[in-house]
Amino acid sequence: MNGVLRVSKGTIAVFVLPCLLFYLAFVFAPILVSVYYSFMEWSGMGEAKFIGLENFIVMFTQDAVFWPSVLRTLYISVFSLMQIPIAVVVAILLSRYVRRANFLVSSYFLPVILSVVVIGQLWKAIYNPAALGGMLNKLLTSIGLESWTRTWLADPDIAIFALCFVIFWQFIGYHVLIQFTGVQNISSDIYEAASIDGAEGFKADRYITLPLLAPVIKISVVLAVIGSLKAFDLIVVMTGGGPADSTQVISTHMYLMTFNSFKYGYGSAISTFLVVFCLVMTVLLNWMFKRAEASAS
Amino acid sequence: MKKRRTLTMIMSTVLAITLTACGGSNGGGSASENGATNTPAANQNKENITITFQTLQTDKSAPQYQVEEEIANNYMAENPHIKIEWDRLDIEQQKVKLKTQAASGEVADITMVNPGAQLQPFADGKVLAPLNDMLDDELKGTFLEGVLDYYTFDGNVYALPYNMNIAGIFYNKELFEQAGVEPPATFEDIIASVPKFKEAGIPAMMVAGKDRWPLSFMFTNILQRVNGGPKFLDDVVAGNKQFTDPVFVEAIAKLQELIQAGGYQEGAATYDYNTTSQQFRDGIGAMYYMGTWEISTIDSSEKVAGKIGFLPFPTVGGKGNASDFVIAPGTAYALGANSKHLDESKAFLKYLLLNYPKVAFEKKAAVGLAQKVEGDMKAAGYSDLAIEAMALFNEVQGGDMNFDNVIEPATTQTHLNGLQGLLVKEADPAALAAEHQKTWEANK
Repeated sequence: MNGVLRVSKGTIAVFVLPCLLFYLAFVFAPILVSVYYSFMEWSGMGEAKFIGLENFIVMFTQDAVFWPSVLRTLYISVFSLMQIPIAVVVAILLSRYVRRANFLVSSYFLPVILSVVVIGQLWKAIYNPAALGGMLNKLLTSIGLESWTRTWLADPDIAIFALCFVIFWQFIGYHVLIQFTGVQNISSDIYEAASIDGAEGFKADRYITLPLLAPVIKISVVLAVIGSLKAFDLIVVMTGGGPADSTQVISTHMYLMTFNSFKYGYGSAISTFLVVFCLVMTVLLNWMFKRAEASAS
Repeated sequence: MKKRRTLTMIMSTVLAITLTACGGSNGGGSASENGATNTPAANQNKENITITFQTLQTDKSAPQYQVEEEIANNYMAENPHIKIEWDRLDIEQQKVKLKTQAASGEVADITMVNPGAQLQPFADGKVLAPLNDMLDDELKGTFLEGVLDYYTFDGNVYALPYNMNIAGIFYNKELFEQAGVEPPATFEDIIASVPKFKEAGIPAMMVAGKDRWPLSFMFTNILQRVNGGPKFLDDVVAGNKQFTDPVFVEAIAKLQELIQAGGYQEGAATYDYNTTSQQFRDGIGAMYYMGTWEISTIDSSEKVAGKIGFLPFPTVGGKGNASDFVIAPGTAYALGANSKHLDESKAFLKYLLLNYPKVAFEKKAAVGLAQKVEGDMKAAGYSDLAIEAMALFNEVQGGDMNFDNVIEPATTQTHLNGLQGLLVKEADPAALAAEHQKTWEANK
């Protein structure tokens, strides 16, 4: 490569620098600042006091909301992962049986470009108690399943799953689009060759589509997991972390601690944890993919 | 009506989120160009100035909105070089935005704060400007006795309130008749009336459980009754009492009793304040515990105007005195300490407050002001509800501020979440009280 395509360092710098500077200034620097504040006791105003690892100790050992919120974050990740097999199946079916699939794919994609606030209000209208015009409860009542009606967002055992479902609904189109593009990119020559060898339909999917789709699936998995670790806006709009902290995830807990309890330092500690948690998850996922690839070949 | 409300809600939330994200630019000194054309010669040499005014008034139909806007428009007409720029946010969003701005040192020229413990961090953090120098006798004389104390720390007044309210139970006379229930004289009456309302298909009480503070608001009143008088929370702050005190535990148990009896509407934990108030004004729900600020909007509602009565919170278990009230010494205007136009902001704020009682009286919003009001309410066409409530103001003997105005923010969060939890799941009152005490000791 080196001899063929010689690009001067200056040229590389011109292309890379603007983006890098933005990244350093707006992503990296704030992370460092929040790591710095995570060692402080600070109300957001006035003097900050250095307290070492105190925030982290409290977070890991005394905060009754923290670990459940980590667990709920993982719930959302697992739910988001369940989107992917469905998205793959939908993508395969679309590319095989639908002649002009673009319309359908765009329709599935629609919720992704809607504002989260709009989606939150929409689903609140669906989940609301019947007295507030909740569609789901009204539907259940009208088909005689009155015993199934719930106050979906106010029942602490159910609320988090009600939210998971909305996230599932919102992003499935995104993954369908990614997988659909992946399927389309597989050359038809391979399928033709396979059909001569007697592999058609699901057999072809098993031995051709899935292995060739692996890199694309990997992208989807990383996006789904990291995206759900950062889940925040939808939860704030729909439940605000309530009732009684039962839908609190890491990011909403951080937000409430910082802005409602005036504990800027503690909030920074939680966000530092979130950054590290995201990094660890990414490394873990990559390691799992590598292992899977190694065992496949 | 409903459609518009949802739309406003969406709009304000979207706005708040975008604004919070941007940290809000104050746009100090951005001169309006077309202002120059209609500027009188006298003001020609003055520099054009924009004052940012962060307000909680988002509902154009509310009299409080119109009062502020009218006075600001008058001021701009008299002082053409001043431009007032509104930053309208709902209550919860504004709290967050103000804290974000305080952390980054970019507080609006004029903003709004709550008294007591909620104001203290801003005062301690030197985020707000002391207002002593603008409080001359003329302005000071317009305020009710003692109301400024809630906004004073170390001899400095940090904010000037425009309202001061008492809380009680609004009840819908029509629905009471429909269910065959008499207005409650005791807390036990309320609980006993729940089955009757249920039979008639009416929620006995409404509460905005999603926003949490309305529940705490009524809880503070229960606590006041169980305690036999006000100042339980002040005793906690002074170190004379603890949250584990039997009085506090009993107050939680009483609230839980009401919840377990089905006293609140179904799914109460999903209702926000705007929705709940609107539903009560739509004639859903027989009782609504809220502050007297609701009166002007109730009076302007088509459905329930004239059918609503106002009761002091009743005795609980025979304890307490109905002349003690939970008092909300309001929301107050404060000025950012780093404002580039501090002097101009002070001048405007003074003008605003000097005119506030008069304009509010004309807009039929004179109930629950922090300032003295002159004029004959009956002749001015005020409703019976407003006059009834005004009369109660004179009977107030003792008062408590709401929990979050007395107790520091972290314990308040434990408190609010704990009470919200009671709406969805039965809990042990003693354990919840112990949790209060634990957070309090860690943060006081």
